[in-house]
Amino acid sequence: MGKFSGLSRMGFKTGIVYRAHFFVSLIKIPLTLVVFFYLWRSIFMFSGEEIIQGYTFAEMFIYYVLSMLVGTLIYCDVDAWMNEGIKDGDVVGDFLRPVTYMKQLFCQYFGLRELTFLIEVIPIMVVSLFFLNVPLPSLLFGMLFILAVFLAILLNYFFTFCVGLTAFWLKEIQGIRRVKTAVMAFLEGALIPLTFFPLIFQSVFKYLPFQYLRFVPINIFLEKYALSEVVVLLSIQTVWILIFFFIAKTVFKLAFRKFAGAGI
Amino acid sequence: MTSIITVKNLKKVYKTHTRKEGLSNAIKSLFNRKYEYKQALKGISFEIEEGEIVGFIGPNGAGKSTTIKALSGFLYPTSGEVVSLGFTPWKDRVDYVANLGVVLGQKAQLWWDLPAIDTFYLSKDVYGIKESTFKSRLNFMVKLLDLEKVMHTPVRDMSLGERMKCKLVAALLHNPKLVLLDEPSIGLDVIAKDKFRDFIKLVNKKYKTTFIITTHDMQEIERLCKKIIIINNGQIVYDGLLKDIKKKYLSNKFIDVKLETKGEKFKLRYCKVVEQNEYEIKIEVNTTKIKVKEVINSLLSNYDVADILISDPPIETIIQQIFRSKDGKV
Repeated sequence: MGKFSGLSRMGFKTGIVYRAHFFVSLIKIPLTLVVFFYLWRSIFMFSGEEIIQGYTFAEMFIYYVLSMLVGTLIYCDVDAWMNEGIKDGDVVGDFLRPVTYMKQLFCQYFGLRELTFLIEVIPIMVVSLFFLNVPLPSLLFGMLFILAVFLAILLNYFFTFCVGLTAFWLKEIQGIRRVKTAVMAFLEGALIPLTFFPLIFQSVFKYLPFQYLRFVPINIFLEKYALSEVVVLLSIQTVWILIFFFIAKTVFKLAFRKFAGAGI
Repeated sequence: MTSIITVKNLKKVYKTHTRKEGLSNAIKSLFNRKYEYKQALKGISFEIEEGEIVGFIGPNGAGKSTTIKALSGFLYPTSGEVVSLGFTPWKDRVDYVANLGVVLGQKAQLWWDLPAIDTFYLSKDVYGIKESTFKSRLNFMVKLLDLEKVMHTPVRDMSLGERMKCKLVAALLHNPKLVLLDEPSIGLDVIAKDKFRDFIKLVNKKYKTTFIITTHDMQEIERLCKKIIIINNGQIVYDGLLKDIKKKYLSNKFIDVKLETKGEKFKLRYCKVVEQNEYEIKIEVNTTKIKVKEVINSLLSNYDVADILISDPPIETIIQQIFRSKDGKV
């Protein structure tokens, strides 16, 4: 426990070192939400429809509020940290600590999540409760939502860690990271709700890991699923976490060999 | 005395890709890479005992850092065996490094954006050091190395030397049994170097900590190490006491004489006059052929001597002799 909290505190602290960075990043979410608000208001006005792809305008806006909330909570750039550390060799500092590499990065990531929760998520929650009339789910779905977000935090970590591992071979993975970001914005449901895709796509998405990062937690909150569906979805989510966990563990062994073998 | 490290026939071959200069070659190398194999370690063996301070000496590219990396646990050797503190470093990394402290001169091991004190507290948590033990150790080190103020500034704002001292503290807080220092005195001024060395000596005495130090600074070796290992071209060329190598290789002594009144030109068999002016003579004596006493007697009887200084040639000279000799064997 001591190791864990020590490392996560470091993540927390690094998050608030640069004041300007810290304060400016606070504006990001409200700003994005304003853009989405006007974008969808004009889409609804021009289409003249009350409901588009299963969402009313109010629900659509709430979708984006929740999307920002979940997206911020699960935000993970450990692949960028890995890229940097591997390229300049400072990753050996991590290798000299008596904690596995995967745990160390997870703790720092988790520390930053705590920070995010306090300074970004809580304000959005307060604003959306009192000013945006976001309807709250039932207690059960509320709990399931929290569980789904927690699982999404794990899933995103192990997935991103796997992406980061490629840096051990490729050294520079900024290209891969950009492609990843672009593709994921679609597949997570960050740009538009996944119901906008053709049904056949949606049934494929069900078995991919990405919708479990954002789209599924959001729709649990909005109670768009029956309880039995939620159980299935959370199970698939858990299976993906396990898959990425084992990939991460196995590939890291090879990566460490590669790193240690090639020299720095 | 028990061995804390046993290295047997350690070999390491690096594969690197090379390319010629120029844009077209850079583009070519995107598709067609030429690889080169470099033998960094050609089967070295040595043992290190608990509580020793061992100097690891060698020219650039000799294999010092490769050895340190293998001992640090983040280098897989091509073949050979290492048992350090009872572990195979690269296989049991996590358990092994709990008892290890490493300072790499060239790498950042402190949290760049945060004050060093934060990294120290991280060590406390990661290594599970008790609050009271941690406080007393930290105070002890911080006082000795003059870090009271510095450790509260972010690492990125520190000077090279301050950073190095903080790295040393971070590497020693958990009181490791073995400490590896890879060129630790880079960036330190003369006073700081002195403190650094005294500090290492003190820790070595107090906790029986074993140190391995690589450095190009021969003064450092002479001040700190009883035992040295000299490595050249991936092979160990000397492994033994510093004083033995001195005895074996120092067949010369220097005698500096200052005169009260002007003297004649000095001449004696087996002595070479390095420099002579009106009031000073500098002689190199071959001590295997003639006793220093004889030379002194001759000096005293022929000159009006004000002062005499007898000295060994610096250790650099010996090391240079070894490196320059063709096979590099001692």
